[in-house]
Amino acid sequence: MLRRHPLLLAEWLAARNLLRRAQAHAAIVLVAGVGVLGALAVILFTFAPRFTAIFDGLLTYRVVMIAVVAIYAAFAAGSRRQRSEIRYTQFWLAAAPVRQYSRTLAILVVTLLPLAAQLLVVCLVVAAMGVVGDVAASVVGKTTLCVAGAAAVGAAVGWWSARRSRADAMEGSRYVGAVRPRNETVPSAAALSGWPLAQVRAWGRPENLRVLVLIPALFAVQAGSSALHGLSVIAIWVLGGYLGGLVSAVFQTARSASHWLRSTPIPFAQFAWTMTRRAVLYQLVGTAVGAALMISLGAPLLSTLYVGALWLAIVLLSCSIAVADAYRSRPPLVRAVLSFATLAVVEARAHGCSIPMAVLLAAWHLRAGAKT
Amino acid sequence: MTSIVLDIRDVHARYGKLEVLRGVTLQIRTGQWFCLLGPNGVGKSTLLHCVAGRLVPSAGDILVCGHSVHTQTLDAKRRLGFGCAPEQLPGLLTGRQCLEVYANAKAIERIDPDVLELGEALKFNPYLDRFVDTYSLGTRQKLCVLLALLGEPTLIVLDEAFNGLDPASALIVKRHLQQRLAANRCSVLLATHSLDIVEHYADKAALLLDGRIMREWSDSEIAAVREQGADRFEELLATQAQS
Repeated sequence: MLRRHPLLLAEWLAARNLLRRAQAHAAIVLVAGVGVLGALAVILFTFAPRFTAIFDGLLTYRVVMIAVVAIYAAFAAGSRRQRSEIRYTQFWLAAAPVRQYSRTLAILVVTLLPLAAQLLVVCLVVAAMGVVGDVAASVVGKTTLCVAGAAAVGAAVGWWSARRSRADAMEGSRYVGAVRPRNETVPSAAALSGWPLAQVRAWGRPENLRVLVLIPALFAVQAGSSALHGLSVIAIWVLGGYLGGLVSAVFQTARSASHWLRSTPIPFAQFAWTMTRRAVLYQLVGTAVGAALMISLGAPLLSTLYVGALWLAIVLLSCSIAVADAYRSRPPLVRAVLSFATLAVVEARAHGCSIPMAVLLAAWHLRAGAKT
Repeated sequence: MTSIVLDIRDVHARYGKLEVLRGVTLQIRTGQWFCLLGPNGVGKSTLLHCVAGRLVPSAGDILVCGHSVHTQTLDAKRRLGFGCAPEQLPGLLTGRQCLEVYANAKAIERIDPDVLELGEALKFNPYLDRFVDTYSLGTRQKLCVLLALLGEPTLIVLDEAFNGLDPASALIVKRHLQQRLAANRCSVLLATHSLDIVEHYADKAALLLDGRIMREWSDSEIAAVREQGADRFEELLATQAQS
C-alpha cells in the first residue's frame, strides 16, 4: 500500500531506520525506558491513595476535563497539520508527481499519529491509576471514554481549523518578517536572550491561538459569569499558555543555539545566562500578572503566592535542565522526568518542600553543565 | 525539431509582503542548456521553486511541456527532474532508499541504468547503503543530481548543482548533461554563479535582477563574449548588476 504513497513511504523508511539505529544503543534506550517507567511507578504508588478522589473530581468536573482535552487535541492537531503542510512544500519529494490525495493522506497520518500515541499513553496511565488506586472499572472506563471522545472531537476541530489553500502554503523564507535596521554591529551574545521570546511569538500566530482562546471564551459566557470574570479567565488562560510555551521554547532554542555555537569557546555561564535571562524575567513578570488576576478573581492570597512560587521554581528547574543538557549535547528527557518525579514525591511527602528542592536540583544541573 | 519545454509567462511571486519576482518571462527549447545568472537574493531560487511547483506564483503561469505546473501539476511534474538542495535530503534514509522512493514517486519500474552508471562514474555507489546524514556536502550534491535525472525528465532544473562537487565529478556531470542534450532527450535550467559553465556549456543565459530578466544572451552572443577575453563575461555581469 505504501508503494502508492511516496511521502508515507519516505516517512515509514525514516522511522524504520531510526528504530534500527536505536537498536545499536539498545542498552541506553532500555535504561532510559526503565528509568521513565520507574519514575512513573514511583509517582503512581506515591499518590495511589488519592486516585479515587482524583477520578471522582474528574467525573464531577467532566465538562472542564473534556474541554481541556479537546482544546489540547485541537491545538496539537491544528499546529501539527500546519507544520506538515509547510514541511511538505519544502520536502525533498516536493517536485515529484505525488497525487493530492496521497499528500493529504500523508499529512493526516503525520498529524494524527503522534496524537493517537499520546492518547494511548494517557489511556494506559489512566488504566494504571485505576488498578493501583483500586478504582471501580466503570469509573475508569467512563474517564477514558471522556478523554478519548474529547481528543477525537478536538483533533477533528483542529484539523478542520488549520486547513489552508495551496497559495497560503508557501515555504518559510528569510524574506518573511522584518527587523529594525541598525548601523553598527557589536560583538555580543545578548541577542541569544531574545531567541526564546521570538520562538514563542512564532508559535503564537493568530491561527494557532484562535482555538485556544475561543473555547474558554465560550465556557466563560456559558457559565453565566460577569464579563470581567470571563475576561480574567481568558487572560489567565492565554498567559498560562504563553508562559508554558516560553518554558518549551527555552528547551528548543537552547538546543539549536548549542548546536550552532558548538564550535565556539562560549563558556557555560555566559551561554546559560544569555539564553535564559529574558525568558526568566518574562516569567517573573507573567507570574506576577497571573497572581494579580487570580487574586482579583477571589483566590486566597497565600495559595496564590504558593502557586506562583512553585511555578517559578519549576521554570528555574526547567531552564537549568534545558541549558545544561543543551550545552552538554544530551537529550533532556530522562533528566527532566527524574527531576520532576523527585519534585512530585517531595511535594507529596512534605507540602511546600518542592520549592527549595527545585532550587537545589536547578543548582545541581547548572553545576553539571559548568563542569563540561 | 525543437519544441518549447519550459514556458514561463509573466510570473510574479512573493514572500509575505515582499515581491521577489516581478514579471519573469522566458522560454527554453528542447536540447537547450539555459543558465540563470544574477547576484545573491534576486530570486533565482524562487523562480526555480516556482518551476518545480514548490511555490505558487502570485500571478502568471508556468508550463512544462505544455502542462501548467499549477493546474496540471502531475503531468508537469512527470516531465520534470528537480535537484533539491542537499540540506533537504532526508538524513534518516540511505542513498539507495532515496533513489527508490523518488523512482516510486515518479512511477518508474526500475532505476534508469544510465543514472546508476553516472553514480558509478561519480564514485557514489559505495555510499548507496549509508545514511544520508553521514554524507559530505559533495556526496549529498551527487545524490541530488542523480535524483534529478531519474525517470528521463524532459526538463532538468538544477540550483547551484555544482557547489561542493570536486572538479572531476563536476566535469562528469557536465558531460553527462551534454550527452543528454545532444540527443535532444532533455533541456537544462541551471541557476549558477559559475561563469565557466555559461561560457563553455550554455546555449542561452539570462540575467535576473530585482525580480526581472534584465538581459538574455543567445548561443552566438555567449560565443562572442567568450572571444573577447577570459574575464569579459564577469565584467559584463558586474556592470549590469551595478547599473
